[in-house]
Amino acid sequence: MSCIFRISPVLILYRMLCCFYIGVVKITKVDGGLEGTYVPEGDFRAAKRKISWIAKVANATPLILTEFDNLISKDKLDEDDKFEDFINPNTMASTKAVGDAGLKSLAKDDVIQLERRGYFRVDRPYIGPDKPLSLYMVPDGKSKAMSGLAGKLAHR
Amino acid sequence: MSLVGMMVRFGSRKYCNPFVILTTRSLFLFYSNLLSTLARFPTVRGVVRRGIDIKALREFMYSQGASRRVVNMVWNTFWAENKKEIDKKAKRFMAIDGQQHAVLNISNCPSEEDHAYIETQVHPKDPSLGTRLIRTSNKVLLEAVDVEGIEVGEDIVLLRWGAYIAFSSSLFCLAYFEFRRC
Repeated sequence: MSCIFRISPVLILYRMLCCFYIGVVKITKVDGGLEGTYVPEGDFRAAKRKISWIAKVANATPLILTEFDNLISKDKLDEDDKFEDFINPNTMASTKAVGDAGLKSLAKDDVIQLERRGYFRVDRPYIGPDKPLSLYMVPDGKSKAMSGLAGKLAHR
Repeated sequence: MSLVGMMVRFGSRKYCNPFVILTTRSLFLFYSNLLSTLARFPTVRGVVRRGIDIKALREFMYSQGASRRVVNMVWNTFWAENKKEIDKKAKRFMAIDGQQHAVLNISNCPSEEDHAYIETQVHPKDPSLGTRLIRTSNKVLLEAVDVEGIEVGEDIVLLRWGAYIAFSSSLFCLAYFEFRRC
């Protein structure tokens, strides 16, 4: 019987697959509040929407996500351009968000990825409910956001 | 004991869009108008505040060589280089917009009082960074953008939600399979 509990390559492979298992939820009601049931053996390949989520629990972390845009709205100023004409009026935008409880443990200058949103640097760690975690978006050099969750400003 | 020093002299790099060409006067104008944060200035301090990795910055400067030519560049390559570096150790978390979200009730999941959680890798490509716990509950928040036009009967996938309900039965099957193998 001991062989059942022996760690075999098959078991390791299975556990690895298990780690990346993703939950499938079947939507049962849409009007007047979304409702659904968890489908344990659901096929995640068939699902069209693969989305991020967060449990609605009391210890979730409040966040402020801040993005920046270029200070000048023109790529290259010519000799006779007056730079005052090309100052971008909107260079900063912040969004309030709710995140995992684990975000509370981050320290200043840690760089994390919020899945499907992008990379962020911790500008101020979580202090309390009135001083939430402040995250600055790190540009990734792409012209488009990594998913449908685009920010308020142009993606950099 | 001898100190070995290395001096690298760089030519100036002009990036499109920031104001390398601007004068002290115009810099002062920016500075007095937009002082609220320095993160938008294309200075070393500014880009560090925006999340550049020092190692990536150094690598990038070395990759440019020690030429004294003045070159024009776009920022994208700089940030793309940085992304490669930070991606290796950036821990993964999830966050949902504070205002524009929808609440999904999942009927067959434990409620908040049960303190249910799942364990997942901090970094999907690097198991050495360890695991983290994610709270689960029968009420989950989803982005409003993601649930637009959702229909009854549709299957959606919640990323990283482990198949913990299915696990016990699957493990049993697996144990049987293992037993047969031996």
